[in-house]
Amino acid sequence: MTAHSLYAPSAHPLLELKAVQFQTPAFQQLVETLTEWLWGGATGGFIVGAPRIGKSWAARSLENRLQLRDGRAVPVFYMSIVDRDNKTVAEIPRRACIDHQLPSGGHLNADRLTEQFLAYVCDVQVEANVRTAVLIVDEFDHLTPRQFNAFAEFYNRLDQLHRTMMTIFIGNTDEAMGLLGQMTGEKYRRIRGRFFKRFGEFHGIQNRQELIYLMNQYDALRHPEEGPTYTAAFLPEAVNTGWRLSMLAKDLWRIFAEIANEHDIDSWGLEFVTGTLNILITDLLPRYGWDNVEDELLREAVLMTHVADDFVHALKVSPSK
Amino acid sequence: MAIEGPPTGIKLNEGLAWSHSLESEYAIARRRLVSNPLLAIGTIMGMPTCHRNSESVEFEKALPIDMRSKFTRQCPHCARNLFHPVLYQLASIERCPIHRTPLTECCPICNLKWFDALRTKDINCPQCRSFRKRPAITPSQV
Repeated sequence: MTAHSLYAPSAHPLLELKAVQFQTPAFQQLVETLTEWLWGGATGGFIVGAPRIGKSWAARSLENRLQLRDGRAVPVFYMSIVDRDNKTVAEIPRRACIDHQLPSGGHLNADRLTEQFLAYVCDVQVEANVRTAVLIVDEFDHLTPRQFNAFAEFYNRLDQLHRTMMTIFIGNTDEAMGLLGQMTGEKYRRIRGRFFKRFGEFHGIQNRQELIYLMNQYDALRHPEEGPTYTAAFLPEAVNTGWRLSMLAKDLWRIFAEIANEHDIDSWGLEFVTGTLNILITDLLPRYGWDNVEDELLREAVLMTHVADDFVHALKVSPSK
Repeated sequence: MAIEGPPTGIKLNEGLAWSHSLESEYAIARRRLVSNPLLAIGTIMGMPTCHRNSESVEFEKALPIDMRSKFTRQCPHCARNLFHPVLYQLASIERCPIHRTPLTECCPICNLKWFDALRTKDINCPQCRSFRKRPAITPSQV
Protein backbone atom coordinates (compact mmCIF):
# COMPACT_ATOMS: atom_id res chain seq x y z
CA MET A 1 0.00 0.00 0.00
CA THR A 2 1.06 3.55 -0.51
CA ALA A 3 0.49 6.67 1.42
CA HIS A 4 -1.32 9.46 -0.35
CA SER A 5 0.41 9.73 -3.68
CA LEU A 6 2.07 13.02 -4.36
CA TYR A 7 1.48 12.45 -8.04
CA ALA A 8 -1.68 14.39 -8.66
CA PRO A 9 -2.12 15.62 -12.22
CA SER A 10 -3.58 19.09 -12.19
CA ALA A 11 -5.26 18.76 -15.59
CA HIS A 12 -6.81 15.39 -16.24
CA PRO A 13 -10.11 14.43 -17.88
CA LEU A 14 -11.21 12.70 -14.69
CA LEU A 15 -10.92 15.99 -12.81
CA GLU A 16 -13.27 17.76 -15.20
CA LEU A 17 -17.00 17.29 -15.11
CA LYS A 18 -18.23 14.99 -17.87
CA ALA A 19 -15.00 15.35 -19.83
CA VAL A 20 -14.85 11.63 -20.56
CA GLN A 21 -17.46 9.65 -22.39
CA PHE A 22 -17.18 6.05 -21.30
CA GLN A 23 -18.73 3.28 -23.33
CA THR A 24 -21.32 1.16 -21.60
CA PRO A 25 -23.14 -2.01 -22.62
CA ALA A 26 -26.39 -0.05 -22.55
CA PHE A 27 -24.97 2.41 -25.06
CA GLN A 28 -23.83 -0.39 -27.35
CA GLN A 29 -27.30 -1.86 -27.09
CA LEU A 30 -28.82 1.51 -27.96
CA VAL A 31 -26.67 1.76 -31.09
CA GLU A 32 -27.71 -1.75 -32.14
CA THR A 33 -31.38 -1.05 -31.50
CA LEU A 34 -31.40 2.20 -33.47
CA THR A 35 -29.44 0.62 -36.30
CA GLU A 36 -32.00 -2.15 -36.50
CA TRP A 37 -34.84 0.39 -36.60
CA LEU A 38 -33.01 2.44 -39.22
CA TRP A 39 -32.37 -0.51 -41.45
CA GLY A 40 -35.95 -1.63 -41.01
CA GLY A 41 -37.21 1.71 -42.33
CA ALA A 42 -38.83 2.78 -39.08
CA THR A 43 -40.24 6.29 -38.99
CA GLY A 44 -39.66 6.61 -35.27
CA GLY A 45 -39.70 5.04 -31.84
CA PHE A 46 -39.14 5.83 -28.21
CA ILE A 47 -36.59 4.93 -25.58
CA VAL A 48 -37.27 5.32 -21.88
CA GLY A 49 -35.27 4.84 -18.72
CA ALA A 50 -34.87 5.99 -15.14
CA PRO A 51 -33.54 9.50 -14.47
CA ARG A 52 -29.78 10.09 -14.27
CA ILE A 53 -28.74 6.82 -15.88
CA GLY A 54 -27.03 8.40 -18.87
CA LYS A 55 -29.76 8.57 -21.52
CA SER A 56 -28.96 12.10 -22.62
CA TRP A 57 -25.26 11.41 -22.64
CA ALA A 58 -25.87 8.33 -24.78
CA ALA A 59 -28.15 10.25 -27.12
CA ARG A 60 -25.56 12.97 -27.64
CA SER A 61 -22.89 10.36 -28.29
CA LEU A 62 -24.72 8.80 -31.23
CA GLU A 63 -23.06 11.06 -33.76
CA ASN A 64 -21.01 9.01 -36.23
CA ARG A 65 -22.27 5.78 -34.66
CA LEU A 66 -25.22 5.02 -36.91
CA GLN A 67 -24.58 3.69 -40.37
CA LEU A 68 -26.49 2.41 -43.35
CA ARG A 69 -25.91 -1.14 -44.56
CA ASP A 70 -23.24 0.07 -46.97
CA GLY A 71 -21.31 1.81 -44.19
CA ARG A 72 -22.33 5.39 -44.96
CA ALA A 73 -22.71 7.40 -41.76
CA VAL A 74 -26.19 8.65 -40.99
CA PRO A 75 -26.39 12.23 -39.66
CA VAL A 76 -27.84 12.46 -36.17
CA PHE A 77 -29.61 15.61 -35.00
CA TYR A 78 -30.16 16.14 -31.30
CA MET A 79 -32.71 18.40 -29.68
CA SER A 80 -33.89 18.64 -26.12
CA ILE A 81 -37.42 19.64 -25.19
CA VAL A 82 -37.76 22.20 -22.44
CA ASP A 83 -40.78 22.87 -20.29
CA ARG A 84 -42.57 26.08 -21.26
CA ASP A 85 -45.84 27.65 -20.14
CA ASN A 86 -46.93 28.08 -23.75
CA LYS A 87 -46.73 24.66 -25.37
CA THR A 88 -47.40 25.47 -29.01
CA VAL A 89 -46.61 23.39 -32.07
CA ALA A 90 -44.36 26.24 -33.27
CA GLU A 91 -42.23 25.75 -30.18
CA ILE A 92 -40.92 22.49 -31.66
CA PRO A 93 -39.28 23.86 -34.84
CA ARG A 94 -38.13 26.85 -32.79
CA ARG A 95 -36.42 24.52 -30.32
CA ALA A 96 -34.94 22.54 -33.21
CA CYS A 97 -33.47 25.76 -34.65
CA ILE A 98 -32.14 26.90 -31.28
CA ASP A 99 -30.49 23.56 -30.56
CA HIS A 100 -28.74 23.63 -33.95
CA GLN A 101 -27.62 27.26 -33.73
CA LEU A 102 -29.94 28.27 -36.54
CA PRO A 103 -31.78 31.60 -36.57
CA SER A 104 -34.90 31.44 -34.40
CA GLY A 105 -36.21 34.98 -33.85
CA GLY A 106 -39.09 35.50 -31.46
CA HIS A 107 -42.04 36.33 -33.72
CA LEU A 108 -41.32 33.95 -36.60
CA ASN A 109 -44.00 31.51 -37.62
CA ALA A 110 -43.88 27.74 -37.55
CA ASP A 111 -43.68 27.38 -41.34
CA ARG A 112 -40.52 29.42 -41.61
CA LEU A 113 -38.92 27.82 -38.58
CA THR A 114 -39.68 24.40 -40.00
CA GLU A 115 -38.23 25.32 -43.40
CA GLN A 116 -35.08 26.71 -41.81
CA PHE A 117 -34.51 23.55 -39.80
CA LEU A 118 -35.33 21.14 -42.62
CA ALA A 119 -33.11 23.00 -45.08
CA TYR A 120 -30.32 22.46 -42.57
CA VAL A 121 -31.18 18.76 -42.34
CA CYS A 122 -31.08 18.53 -46.15
CA ASP A 123 -27.71 20.29 -46.26
CA VAL A 124 -26.20 17.82 -43.83
CA GLN A 125 -27.74 14.87 -45.68
CA VAL A 126 -26.34 16.08 -49.01
CA GLU A 127 -22.88 16.48 -47.50
CA ALA A 128 -23.09 13.00 -46.00
CA ASN A 129 -24.34 11.65 -49.32
CA VAL A 130 -27.39 10.03 -47.75
CA ARG A 131 -31.11 10.69 -47.96
CA THR A 132 -31.90 9.81 -44.38
CA ALA A 133 -31.16 11.11 -40.90
CA VAL A 134 -32.03 10.50 -37.27
CA LEU A 135 -33.59 13.13 -35.04
CA ILE A 136 -33.15 12.53 -31.32
CA VAL A 137 -35.75 14.28 -29.19
CA ASP A 138 -34.56 14.22 -25.60
CA GLU A 139 -36.82 14.92 -22.60
CA PHE A 140 -39.85 14.22 -24.78
CA ASP A 141 -42.00 13.84 -21.68
CA HIS A 142 -42.23 17.66 -21.68
CA LEU A 143 -44.24 17.51 -24.91
CA THR A 144 -48.00 17.72 -25.16
CA PRO A 145 -49.78 15.23 -27.44
CA ARG A 146 -50.55 17.99 -29.94
CA GLN A 147 -46.90 18.94 -30.31
CA PHE A 148 -46.10 15.56 -31.85
CA ASN A 149 -47.73 16.88 -35.01
CA ALA A 150 -44.67 19.06 -35.58
CA PHE A 151 -42.52 15.95 -35.92
CA ALA A 152 -45.05 14.42 -38.29
CA GLU A 153 -44.75 17.57 -40.37
CA PHE A 154 -40.95 17.31 -40.39
CA TYR A 155 -41.31 13.81 -41.78
CA ASN A 156 -43.89 14.79 -44.38
CA ARG A 157 -41.91 17.77 -45.66
CA LEU A 158 -38.79 15.69 -46.08
CA ASP A 159 -40.81 12.98 -47.74
CA GLN A 160 -41.80 15.52 -50.42
CA LEU A 161 -38.11 15.87 -51.19
CA HIS A 162 -37.65 12.11 -51.29
CA ARG A 163 -35.76 12.27 -48.05
CA THR A 164 -36.50 10.79 -44.66
CA MET A 165 -35.75 11.24 -40.98
CA MET A 166 -36.31 8.72 -38.20
CA THR A 167 -37.44 10.45 -35.00
CA ILE A 168 -36.41 8.90 -31.70
CA PHE A 169 -38.02 10.17 -28.50
CA ILE A 170 -36.05 9.71 -25.29
CA GLY A 171 -37.46 10.37 -21.83
CA ASN A 172 -37.87 9.34 -18.22
CA THR A 173 -39.97 6.22 -17.84
CA ASP A 174 -42.57 7.48 -15.38
CA GLU A 175 -43.26 10.82 -17.03
CA ALA A 176 -43.09 9.37 -20.54
CA MET A 177 -45.55 6.61 -19.73
CA GLY A 178 -47.88 9.24 -18.30
CA LEU A 179 -47.73 11.17 -21.56
CA LEU A 180 -48.16 8.08 -23.71
CA GLY A 181 -51.14 7.12 -21.55
CA GLN A 182 -52.84 10.32 -22.72
CA MET A 183 -52.39 9.30 -26.33
CA THR A 184 -54.28 6.04 -26.42
CA GLY A 185 -57.45 7.31 -28.14
CA GLU A 186 -58.43 7.24 -31.80
CA LYS A 187 -57.42 10.89 -32.06
CA TYR A 188 -53.73 10.03 -31.77
CA ARG A 189 -53.74 6.88 -33.83
CA ARG A 190 -51.81 8.55 -36.64
CA ILE A 191 -49.09 9.77 -34.28
CA ARG A 192 -48.87 6.40 -32.55
CA GLY A 193 -48.59 4.60 -35.84
CA ARG A 194 -45.77 6.81 -36.95
CA PHE A 195 -43.68 7.18 -33.83
CA PHE A 196 -44.68 4.66 -31.19
CA LYS A 197 -44.54 1.30 -32.91
CA ARG A 198 -41.01 0.74 -31.64
CA PHE A 199 -39.98 0.83 -28.04
CA GLY A 200 -36.74 0.36 -26.16
CA GLU A 201 -35.47 0.69 -22.61
CA PHE A 202 -32.23 2.20 -21.43
CA HIS A 203 -30.55 1.00 -18.26
CA GLY A 204 -27.63 1.96 -16.13
CA ILE A 205 -25.06 -0.61 -15.03
CA GLN A 206 -27.04 -3.75 -14.20
CA ASN A 207 -24.50 -6.37 -13.16
CA ARG A 208 -20.88 -6.99 -12.26
CA GLN A 209 -19.85 -7.80 -15.82
CA GLU A 210 -21.09 -4.43 -16.99
CA LEU A 211 -19.23 -2.74 -14.16
CA ILE A 212 -16.03 -4.55 -15.15
CA TYR A 213 -16.55 -3.43 -18.74
CA LEU A 214 -16.65 0.15 -17.54
CA MET A 215 -13.77 -0.17 -15.05
CA ASN A 216 -11.56 -1.73 -17.71
CA GLN A 217 -11.75 1.56 -19.58
CA TYR A 218 -10.11 3.34 -16.64
CA ASP A 219 -7.32 0.77 -16.91
CA ALA A 220 -6.99 1.18 -20.66
CA LEU A 221 -7.70 4.80 -21.62
CA ARG A 222 -4.67 7.10 -21.56
CA HIS A 223 -4.15 10.79 -21.08
CA PRO A 224 -2.38 12.18 -22.99
CA GLU A 225 -2.57 9.64 -25.78
CA GLU A 226 0.90 8.28 -25.12
CA GLY A 227 0.73 8.96 -21.39
CA PRO A 228 -0.29 6.80 -18.44
CA THR A 229 -3.66 5.10 -18.15
CA TYR A 230 -6.32 6.92 -16.17
CA THR A 231 -5.68 4.60 -13.24
CA ALA A 232 -1.91 4.95 -13.50
CA ALA A 233 -2.12 8.74 -13.57
CA PHE A 234 -3.34 8.77 -9.98
CA LEU A 235 -2.05 5.42 -8.71
CA PRO A 236 1.29 4.94 -10.49
CA GLU A 237 2.82 2.67 -7.87
CA ALA A 238 -0.20 0.44 -7.75
CA VAL A 239 -0.28 0.00 -11.51
CA ASN A 240 3.48 -0.71 -11.54
CA THR A 241 2.88 -3.64 -9.22
CA GLY A 242 0.21 -5.05 -11.51
CA TRP A 243 -2.85 -3.75 -9.68
CA ARG A 244 -5.82 -2.69 -11.79
CA LEU A 245 -8.97 -0.77 -10.85
CA SER A 246 -11.16 -3.52 -12.28
CA MET A 247 -9.92 -5.80 -9.48
CA LEU A 248 -12.26 -3.88 -7.19
CA ALA A 249 -15.29 -4.72 -9.32
CA LYS A 250 -16.43 -7.73 -7.30
CA ASP A 251 -16.41 -5.90 -3.96
CA LEU A 252 -17.74 -2.68 -5.40
CA TRP A 253 -20.66 -4.44 -7.05
CA ARG A 254 -21.46 -6.28 -3.83
CA ILE A 255 -21.51 -3.01 -1.90
CA PHE A 256 -23.66 -1.31 -4.54
CA ALA A 257 -26.07 -4.27 -4.57
CA GLU A 258 -26.55 -3.89 -0.81
CA ILE A 259 -27.27 -0.19 -1.18
CA ALA A 260 -29.55 -0.84 -4.16
CA ASN A 261 -31.56 -3.33 -2.09
CA GLU A 262 -31.88 -0.88 0.77
CA HIS A 263 -33.06 1.93 -1.48
CA ASP A 264 -34.95 0.07 -4.19
CA ILE A 265 -32.59 1.07 -7.02
CA ASP A 266 -32.78 -1.16 -10.09
CA SER A 267 -29.67 -0.09 -11.97
CA TRP A 268 -26.61 2.03 -11.33
CA GLY A 269 -26.82 5.23 -13.34
CA LEU A 270 -23.75 6.12 -15.34
CA GLU A 271 -23.44 9.50 -13.66
CA PHE A 272 -23.29 7.81 -10.24
CA VAL A 273 -20.95 5.00 -11.29
CA THR A 274 -18.41 7.30 -12.89
CA GLY A 275 -18.78 9.65 -9.91
CA THR A 276 -17.93 6.77 -7.57
CA LEU A 277 -15.01 5.52 -9.67
CA ASN A 278 -13.62 9.03 -10.09
CA ILE A 279 -13.71 9.69 -6.36
CA LEU A 280 -11.99 6.36 -5.70
CA ILE A 281 -9.24 6.93 -8.23
CA THR A 282 -8.54 10.60 -7.70
CA ASP A 283 -9.01 10.87 -3.93
CA LEU A 284 -9.83 7.88 -1.77
CA LEU A 285 -7.45 5.21 -3.06
CA PRO A 286 -4.41 7.51 -3.28
CA ARG A 287 -5.20 8.74 0.24
CA TYR A 288 -6.26 5.56 2.04
CA GLY A 289 -4.47 2.89 0.02
CA TRP A 290 -5.35 0.54 -2.79
CA ASP A 291 -4.16 -2.90 -1.72
CA ASN A 292 -6.58 -3.64 1.07
CA VAL A 293 -9.67 -1.62 0.38
CA GLU A 294 -12.28 -1.88 3.10
CA ASP A 295 -15.99 -2.18 2.43
CA GLU A 296 -16.65 1.00 4.37
CA LEU A 297 -14.48 2.97 1.97
CA LEU A 298 -16.30 1.58 -1.05
CA ARG A 299 -19.66 2.23 0.58
CA GLU A 300 -18.61 5.79 1.31
CA ALA A 301 -17.50 6.27 -2.31
CA VAL A 302 -20.88 5.04 -3.58
CA LEU A 303 -22.91 7.15 -1.17
CA MET A 304 -20.85 10.28 -1.79
CA THR A 305 -22.46 10.51 -5.23
CA HIS A 306 -25.91 10.77 -3.56
CA VAL A 307 -27.14 7.80 -5.57
CA ALA A 308 -29.43 6.81 -2.72
CA ASP A 309 -30.72 10.25 -1.77
CA ASP A 310 -34.28 11.22 -2.45
CA PHE A 311 -35.65 14.28 -0.76
CA VAL A 312 -39.17 12.88 -1.02
CA HIS A 313 -38.13 10.18 1.43
CA ALA A 314 -36.02 12.53 3.48
CA LEU A 315 -38.88 14.95 4.07
CA LYS A 316 -41.48 12.49 5.27
CA VAL A 317 -44.34 14.26 6.98
CA SER A 318 -46.32 12.69 9.73
CA PRO A 319 -49.83 11.69 8.51
CA SER A 320 -51.37 13.33 11.57
CA LYS A 321 -50.12 16.69 10.36
CA MET B 1 -23.94 22.26 -45.23
CA ALA B 2 -24.70 25.27 -43.11
CA ILE B 3 -21.82 27.67 -42.74
CA GLU B 4 -20.92 30.23 -40.13
CA GLY B 5 -22.32 33.51 -41.37
CA PRO B 6 -21.46 37.02 -40.37
CA PRO B 7 -22.00 38.72 -38.05
CA THR B 8 -23.83 36.76 -35.38
CA GLY B 9 -22.13 33.41 -35.72
CA ILE B 10 -25.40 31.60 -36.32
CA LYS B 11 -25.45 28.95 -39.01
CA LEU B 12 -26.75 29.72 -42.46
CA ASN B 13 -28.09 27.05 -44.76
CA GLU B 14 -26.70 26.49 -48.24
CA GLY B 15 -29.72 24.72 -49.71
CA LEU B 16 -27.53 21.96 -51.09
CA ALA B 17 -30.53 19.78 -51.84
CA TRP B 18 -31.21 22.13 -54.74
CA SER B 19 -27.66 22.50 -55.99
CA HIS B 20 -26.87 21.08 -59.40
CA SER B 21 -24.01 20.90 -61.82
CA LEU B 22 -23.34 24.03 -63.91
CA GLU B 23 -25.52 26.06 -61.55
CA SER B 24 -25.31 29.83 -61.92
CA GLU B 25 -24.74 32.44 -59.25
CA TYR B 26 -28.41 33.24 -59.56
CA ALA B 27 -29.28 29.63 -58.78
CA ILE B 28 -27.01 29.69 -55.74
CA ALA B 29 -28.57 32.91 -54.47
CA ARG B 30 -32.02 31.48 -54.99
CA ARG B 31 -31.39 28.25 -53.12
CA ARG B 32 -29.84 30.16 -50.26
CA LEU B 33 -32.84 32.42 -50.10
CA VAL B 34 -35.24 29.51 -50.07
CA SER B 35 -33.31 27.59 -47.45
CA ASN B 36 -32.94 30.54 -45.07
CA PRO B 37 -36.47 31.88 -44.75
CA LEU B 38 -35.69 33.44 -41.37
CA LEU B 39 -32.87 35.64 -42.57
CA ALA B 40 -32.79 39.11 -44.10
CA ILE B 41 -32.01 39.26 -47.81
CA GLY B 42 -28.92 41.36 -47.15
CA THR B 43 -27.47 38.73 -44.85
CA ILE B 44 -28.01 35.99 -47.40
CA MET B 45 -26.63 37.96 -50.33
CA GLY B 46 -23.60 38.83 -48.24
CA MET B 47 -22.70 35.20 -47.68
CA PRO B 48 -19.37 34.23 -49.21
CA THR B 49 -19.67 32.01 -52.24
CA CYS B 50 -18.71 28.52 -51.34
CA HIS B 51 -20.01 25.06 -52.06
CA ARG B 52 -20.02 26.01 -55.70
CA ASN B 53 -19.78 23.25 -58.18
CA SER B 54 -16.33 23.40 -59.76
CA GLU B 55 -17.81 22.64 -63.18
CA SER B 56 -19.96 25.77 -62.89
CA VAL B 57 -16.98 27.91 -61.98
CA GLU B 58 -14.93 26.61 -64.90
CA PHE B 59 -17.79 26.97 -67.31
CA GLU B 60 -18.48 30.53 -66.22
CA LYS B 61 -14.81 31.45 -66.55
CA ALA B 62 -14.99 30.32 -70.13
CA LEU B 63 -17.89 32.66 -70.88
CA PRO B 64 -17.30 36.11 -72.41
CA ILE B 65 -17.06 38.80 -69.72
CA ASP B 66 -20.44 40.37 -70.53
CA MET B 67 -22.20 37.08 -69.96
CA ARG B 68 -20.98 36.73 -66.38
CA SER B 69 -23.07 39.67 -65.23
CA LYS B 70 -26.10 39.32 -62.99
CA PHE B 71 -28.37 39.66 -65.99
CA THR B 72 -30.29 36.48 -65.99
CA ARG B 73 -32.54 34.71 -68.40
CA GLN B 74 -34.60 31.94 -66.98
CA CYS B 75 -37.13 29.31 -67.89
CA PRO B 76 -40.29 29.91 -65.81
CA HIS B 77 -40.78 26.17 -65.32
CA CYS B 78 -37.22 25.67 -64.17
CA ALA B 79 -37.67 28.63 -61.82
CA ARG B 80 -40.22 26.71 -59.81
CA ASN B 81 -37.65 24.00 -59.26
CA LEU B 82 -34.83 26.40 -58.35
CA PHE B 83 -32.98 25.26 -61.46
CA HIS B 84 -30.82 27.71 -63.39
CA PRO B 85 -27.63 26.64 -65.16
CA VAL B 86 -24.95 29.06 -66.37
CA LEU B 87 -25.81 27.77 -69.83
CA TYR B 88 -28.94 29.93 -69.93
CA GLN B 89 -26.71 33.01 -70.16
CA LEU B 90 -25.66 32.04 -73.66
CA ALA B 91 -27.48 34.21 -76.19
CA SER B 92 -27.64 31.35 -78.63
CA ILE B 93 -29.94 29.45 -76.31
CA GLU B 94 -33.42 30.85 -76.73
CA ARG B 95 -35.53 28.07 -75.33
CA CYS B 96 -35.28 25.87 -72.29
CA PRO B 97 -33.86 22.57 -73.54
CA ILE B 98 -35.95 20.73 -70.97
CA HIS B 99 -39.36 22.42 -71.21
CA ARG B 100 -39.03 23.94 -74.69
CA THR B 101 -40.38 27.25 -73.38
CA PRO B 102 -38.73 30.59 -74.27
CA LEU B 103 -36.24 31.92 -71.74
CA THR B 104 -37.49 35.18 -70.25
CA GLU B 105 -35.82 38.13 -68.57
CA CYS B 106 -38.62 38.66 -66.09
CA CYS B 107 -40.76 36.47 -63.91
CA PRO B 108 -44.11 36.08 -65.74
CA ILE B 109 -46.02 36.38 -62.46
CA CYS B 110 -44.48 39.33 -60.63
CA ASN B 111 -42.85 40.91 -63.70
CA LEU B 112 -39.63 41.60 -61.82
CA LYS B 113 -36.32 40.76 -63.42
CA TRP B 114 -35.25 37.40 -62.13
CA PHE B 115 -32.28 38.58 -60.11
CA ASP B 116 -34.07 41.73 -58.92
CA ALA B 117 -36.82 39.60 -57.43
CA LEU B 118 -34.25 38.03 -55.13
CA ARG B 119 -33.20 41.42 -53.81
CA THR B 120 -36.62 42.95 -53.38
CA LYS B 121 -38.22 42.88 -49.96
CA ASP B 122 -41.73 41.67 -49.29
CA ILE B 123 -41.99 39.65 -52.47
CA ASN B 124 -43.39 36.18 -52.11
CA CYS B 125 -43.88 35.20 -55.70
CA PRO B 126 -44.46 31.45 -56.05
CA GLN B 127 -42.49 31.44 -59.27
CA CYS B 128 -39.30 33.24 -58.37
CA ARG B 129 -39.12 33.68 -54.61
CA SER B 130 -41.47 31.59 -52.52
CA PHE B 131 -40.19 29.62 -49.61
CA ARG B 132 -43.57 28.10 -48.91
CA LYS B 133 -44.25 26.46 -52.19
CA ARG B 134 -41.29 24.23 -51.98
CA PRO B 135 -40.80 22.32 -55.21
CA ALA B 136 -42.12 18.82 -55.08
CA ILE B 137 -39.15 17.48 -56.94
CA THR B 138 -35.47 18.18 -56.68
CA PRO B 139 -33.45 19.69 -59.51
CA SER B 140 -31.66 16.44 -60.09
CA GLN B 141 -34.97 14.94 -61.08
CA VAL B 142 -35.90 17.68 -63.54
